[in-house]
Amino acid sequence: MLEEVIVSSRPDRVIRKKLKNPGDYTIVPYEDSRCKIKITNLACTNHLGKCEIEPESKVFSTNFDGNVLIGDSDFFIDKDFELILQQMCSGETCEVNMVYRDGSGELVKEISCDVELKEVTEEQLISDWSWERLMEASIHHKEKGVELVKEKRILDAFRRFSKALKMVVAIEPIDPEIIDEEKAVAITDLKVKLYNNLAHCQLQYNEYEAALDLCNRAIKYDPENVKALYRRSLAYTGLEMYVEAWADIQRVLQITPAEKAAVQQSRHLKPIIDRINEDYSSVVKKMFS
Amino acid sequence: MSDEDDSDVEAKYFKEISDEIQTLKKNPETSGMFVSGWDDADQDVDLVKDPKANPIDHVLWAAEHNKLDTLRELLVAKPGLVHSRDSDGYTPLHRAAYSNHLDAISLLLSFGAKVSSKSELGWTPLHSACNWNNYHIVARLLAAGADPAAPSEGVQTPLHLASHLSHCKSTLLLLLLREDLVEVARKPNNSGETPEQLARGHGIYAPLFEMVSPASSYVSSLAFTCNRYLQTNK
Repeated sequence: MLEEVIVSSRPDRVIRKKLKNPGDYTIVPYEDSRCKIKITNLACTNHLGKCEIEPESKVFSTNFDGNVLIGDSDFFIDKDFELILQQMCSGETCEVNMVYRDGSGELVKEISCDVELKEVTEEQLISDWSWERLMEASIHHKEKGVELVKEKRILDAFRRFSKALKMVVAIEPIDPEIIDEEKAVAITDLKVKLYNNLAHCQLQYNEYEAALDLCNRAIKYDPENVKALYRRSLAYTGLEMYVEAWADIQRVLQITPAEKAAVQQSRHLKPIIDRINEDYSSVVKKMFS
Repeated sequence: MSDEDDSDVEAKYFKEISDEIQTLKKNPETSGMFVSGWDDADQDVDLVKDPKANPIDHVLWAAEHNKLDTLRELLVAKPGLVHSRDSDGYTPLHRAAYSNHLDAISLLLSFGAKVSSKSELGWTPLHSACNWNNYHIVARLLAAGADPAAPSEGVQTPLHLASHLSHCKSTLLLLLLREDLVEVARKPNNSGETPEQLARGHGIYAPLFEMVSPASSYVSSLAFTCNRYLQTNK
């Protein structure tokens, strides 16, 4: 009688849940809620039969302590699992099914289990958070992202930076009655750092247009920002806009002449820019000869 | 300028407003703005005469007015009533959503009310809640699996409705915090307006849409940023 519901569906993965035992409909987890859960009857299969769940997953690891903080997972399977918790009530037990496919539609992994949401702390909705709390949350997610970059988990880092940016943007529009100039500067600084970090992640995947967009936003706030100018130079290079790339990297070298990566980028661009200039002067010559 | 001139201008102004209201009322997409207190009062009068004569009207009325005991009694006696509809296709969940009654929402959900039920104009209860910035209801409905991208007859999503309000920040934050609304924020309704454009035209909250800017929301060469199995396949 109880039907299966789709929690989230994309071509590459579908998450379903089926109610087994209803809970208290007045208590549900929101962002930042602490949940105590119990997972039973866990199974993971693919077309060959039983298989391992990824070792990075915390929720499905053997030493999982049963605590989940909503909005604070890193690994994609754990984040997907959070989506299920966010559609459960306190005390509820449900049957969960998560199916992952690869780019060609082949089944990679099917995870199923029963989940009991034993306890939920009731949290303020993000709409009621003070700007200080939003700022604090943003910094938290940014720091987690920086750690992930060090571990070379670029995608997971990207999602942290993305969340951090959401949190700091959520402070908008800045009310000068509540947030004085000094604090407003701190907010802008944080935003610029996040644009830069997001741009770094986008560049790792050769997403030059996205990186350009992010660097532009950073430079709009801070025209002398060396990281933003350097990354924009890389983005322009990727987009074959060499004149712009050259201008940015020369600006970087004016500000920090010894910066190794910038010197290297400049060296890389030099022959290209020389050729462009040559072509240009020959065109001019032809025009005026 | 004489006083007479002033009153003329004022009269003209009022005429414009009243014409505007008439147009909005005729337009099915905006007529929801005029769920007026008068209508409610009429219903009350009708129902007070003999509310139990018609359990469907009764359950709808109880949901709209947060009469939790009545609501529970009716639903225990006849669980199917949770799917009642009025002449516009509104369910008890819609009524409780636009009236901002969180307890009634939870109660209705516990009796199996469907978050995806649509009114005659294709509004889900989430549309009703977003249209009035009833953000606690919005959060509760989302937690029950409501779809923030569900289009109405006029291709208005709940995000569109929230965006066209001047006081919409609370609802917008809940919606824009999600990771699945990047495309919807750029999707035009039947009048060719995207939620972002609506927000720009109706208040001061358009900057919040940076929360769903594509460049900061996903890495586009990996169709879905998070599924690692797509990466390894590239």
